[in-house]
Amino acid sequence: MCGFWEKNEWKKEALESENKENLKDSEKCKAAPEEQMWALWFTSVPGIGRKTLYGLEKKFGSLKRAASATEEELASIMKASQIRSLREFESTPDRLMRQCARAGVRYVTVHSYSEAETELALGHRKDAVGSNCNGAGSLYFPERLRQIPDSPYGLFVKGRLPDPDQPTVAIIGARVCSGYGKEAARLMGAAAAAAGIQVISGMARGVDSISQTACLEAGGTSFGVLGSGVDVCYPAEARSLYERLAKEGGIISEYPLGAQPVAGNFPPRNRLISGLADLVLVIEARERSGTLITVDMALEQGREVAVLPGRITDALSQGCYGLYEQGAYLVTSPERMAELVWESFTVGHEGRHTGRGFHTATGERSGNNPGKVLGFSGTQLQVLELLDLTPQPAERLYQLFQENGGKESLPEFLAVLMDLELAGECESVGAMYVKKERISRKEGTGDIRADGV
Amino acid sequence: MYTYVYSGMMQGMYARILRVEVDASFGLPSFDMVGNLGYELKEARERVRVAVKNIGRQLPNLRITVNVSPAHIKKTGTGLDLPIAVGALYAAGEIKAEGLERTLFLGELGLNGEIRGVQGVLPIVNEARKQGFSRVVLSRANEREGAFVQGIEVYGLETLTEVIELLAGEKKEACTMDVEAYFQEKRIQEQPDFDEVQGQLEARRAAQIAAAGFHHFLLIGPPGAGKTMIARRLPSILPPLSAEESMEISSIYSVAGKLDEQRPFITVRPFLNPHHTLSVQAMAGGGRIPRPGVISLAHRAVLFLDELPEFRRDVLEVLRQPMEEKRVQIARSEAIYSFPADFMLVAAMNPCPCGYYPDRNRCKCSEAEIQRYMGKISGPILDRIDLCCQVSAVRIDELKQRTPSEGSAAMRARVLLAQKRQQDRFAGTGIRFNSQIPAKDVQTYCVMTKEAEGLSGLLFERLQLSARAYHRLLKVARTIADLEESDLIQERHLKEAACYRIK
Repeated sequence: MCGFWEKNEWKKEALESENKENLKDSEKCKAAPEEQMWALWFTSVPGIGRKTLYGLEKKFGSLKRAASATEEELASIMKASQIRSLREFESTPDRLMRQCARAGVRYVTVHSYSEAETELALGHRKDAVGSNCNGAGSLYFPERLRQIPDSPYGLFVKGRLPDPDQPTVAIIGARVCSGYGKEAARLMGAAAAAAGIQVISGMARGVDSISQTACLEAGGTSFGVLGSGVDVCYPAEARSLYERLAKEGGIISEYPLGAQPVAGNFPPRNRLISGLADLVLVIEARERSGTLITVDMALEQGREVAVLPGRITDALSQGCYGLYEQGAYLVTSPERMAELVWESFTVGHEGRHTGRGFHTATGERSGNNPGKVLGFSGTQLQVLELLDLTPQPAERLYQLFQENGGKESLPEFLAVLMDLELAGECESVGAMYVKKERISRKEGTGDIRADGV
Repeated sequence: MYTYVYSGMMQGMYARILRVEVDASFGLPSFDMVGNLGYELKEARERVRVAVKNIGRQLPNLRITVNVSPAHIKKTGTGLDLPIAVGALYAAGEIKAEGLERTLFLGELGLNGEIRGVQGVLPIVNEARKQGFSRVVLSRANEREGAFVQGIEVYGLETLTEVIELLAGEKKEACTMDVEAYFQEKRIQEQPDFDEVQGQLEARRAAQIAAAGFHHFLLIGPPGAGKTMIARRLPSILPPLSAEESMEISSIYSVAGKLDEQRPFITVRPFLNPHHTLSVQAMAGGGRIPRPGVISLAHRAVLFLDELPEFRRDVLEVLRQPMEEKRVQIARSEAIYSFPADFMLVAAMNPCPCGYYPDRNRCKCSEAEIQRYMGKISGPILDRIDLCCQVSAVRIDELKQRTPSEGSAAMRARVLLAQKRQQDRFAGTGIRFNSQIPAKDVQTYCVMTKEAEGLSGLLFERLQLSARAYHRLLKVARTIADLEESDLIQERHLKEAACYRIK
């Protein structure tokens, strides 16, 4: 199913050899739940990450054995500081399991191939699988993440993991985004939900959280990948999104419970976002943006990248156009986005960048021509056309209005603006006005008054 | 022999006439002063003694006792030097004097016998006239200030010798001022004019509405957009001061010690723009003996707070009570001082820390930073601001535009008209402007057309207004209607007012 296998022979071999080892050693197979516990224990030790875990496993055959190794034996794999924190680490695997259960969090390692195995790991204890753990969805380690370079050893999951049988899009972009970016994120998130596409993102301010929220609002499924422990809501203002994701989707992290969102955690986090997705969609990025790190990871992992066009004069468009120059797809409508994701999902990764031919291949855009809106007077339509997704002060709008031959006085003009605001066609941000982009425009808005009080 | 002379002092904004009693009798020679005197007043004894000696007179070796009545009030200031000297000389029989009981003395003495100026002259002289005094003797420095009070003779004299001569019956020139002429001459002053502001139609319109209804006003915009320029020109479209207002404001300035020979009277509306580092005391008034603060100096005028979020929070918080009650009260153990503070707050701020939000090409502030920046201004303060207007940066073609913008005179004419309508409407209620309509009377004064009634309900729901915000909206709409000379608030007035709400 995945072309990546062929491209990464070394990885395939490595995995296969591991598999063989696992299968050969039947005793070890039975001990898998125990292995999982020890993995949880090791990963919870501050300063020990996936590389060390892989290293230990390779050297000692199993983590259980590694746990009983002497410090001298460990020294070949671990740094002195890691050994020290290991020595000082006071919790026990048992206690960590209970802690996870209490937090409604499940831990899944790269070795959990089947559900039975995993359920064995935690299911024996009825309480271990927290009640707010969404039973639906698989808890095998995601196949996609096994394939990426620098694959995580284990994942903490609150809620569930993405459904591997559903297409997935990662929507990422600037934290500080424009009004246009916000609208686009909302549009794309909702469109993904409508097309049965799961949305993965980082819950960050701006594009990330907006697209995820929109997806959930539209009844879709979304997953947040964090740079902190899954029980740490970062950023704090995304609290309501966090709660919803835990219930209606999932929150995923490779960092142990209680891990703080330190800066160094985010680039590795980004590789999980792109790794879990079929396609990475970038909405607004500056030329030197953190978003581009995720894109680099995506390309390394062989994921498709698409960008949303912005205004060429905006600094926030430059990153996107840079990627376009390098061959990223241009997403010109929500439908186009859905199409690209489905294609990547079904085709796999063989047909990477079959080129720009796609551009002309499809293309009916949903018409959002304000001129078609019924029930507005001439002046109102004229003003409506001046409005933009970028907030503009009334003053500026009035100048444009006059330049376009508007005769009304400023007070009259302001009254028209208020008409439009009341009709829900525009919105005021601060004391500026933006056009309100609506995902599905009601036909025949009709008389402003009549329009639903 | 016992005698008494009159003087006065300020207690906050309240002028009090004091009686300086002096007794000179035989006994161990001494000079004692009683009557709850502040330390600067206790020093008066030395100043009087030496001044009398230095003008070539002498206080005889008597037991002199001075009492300042009413004795229960704490006395402060140096204006009692002159009455004490006169009283002591008279009681000791050194000088002859006529009409002491109709004369009020006010002035500080130098050691050479010179009379120096003091603060609060205007309200004290005014009070003296009200209480039926026929003449006031004060320093030359204060004479023009005192002479603004009509119906009382004001003698501005330079030395104690001249005072003695006057009391002996010698003819001296009383200072007279043609207040009307002075007023006419001085109230037309060079002021920054609105014709220098290019573009900014919305801000100009909002400024005009603010001036007409005396609404508090907030300008939001990027650096260099012209917020300060517009605020500075607001006094030029406010109506000229009436004589009554002028007296009110001048009294405050007199108490604050801000009047002098060059500016003995306030004839144009002040414009106060304190720097954002100012303290609570400077804002509200304060000190051991409270003096009026910036908000009182901006009484009946414009208080401009540039860079509003930079002001300390506690400094802004003190504005709450004065904005509501139009006066500020400062309590001290001996008394509660009350200063008028009916000002128009004009505030300016950037939309975010860097100043360019929502221009995302230039602004990199995060939403949280913007929230924090806006959050620096407390809700209750924003809640009292009626009008809010976005000022955008001026474009080059507007700057180069040769056609002059509308000047202040034309704008002021409309403001005057609107204010006249308000005066008629509120006659006898104590309300002066639309902004001051109390919540209970909003329904009475803000009468709408039937269509506007319907719209107001819609606005209330759609814009999710609070009750207070709704009332503000109606009051602003009332002012807009007044500017158009409309008796009823119409739909368009409401809609325009809604555009100026704080979002």
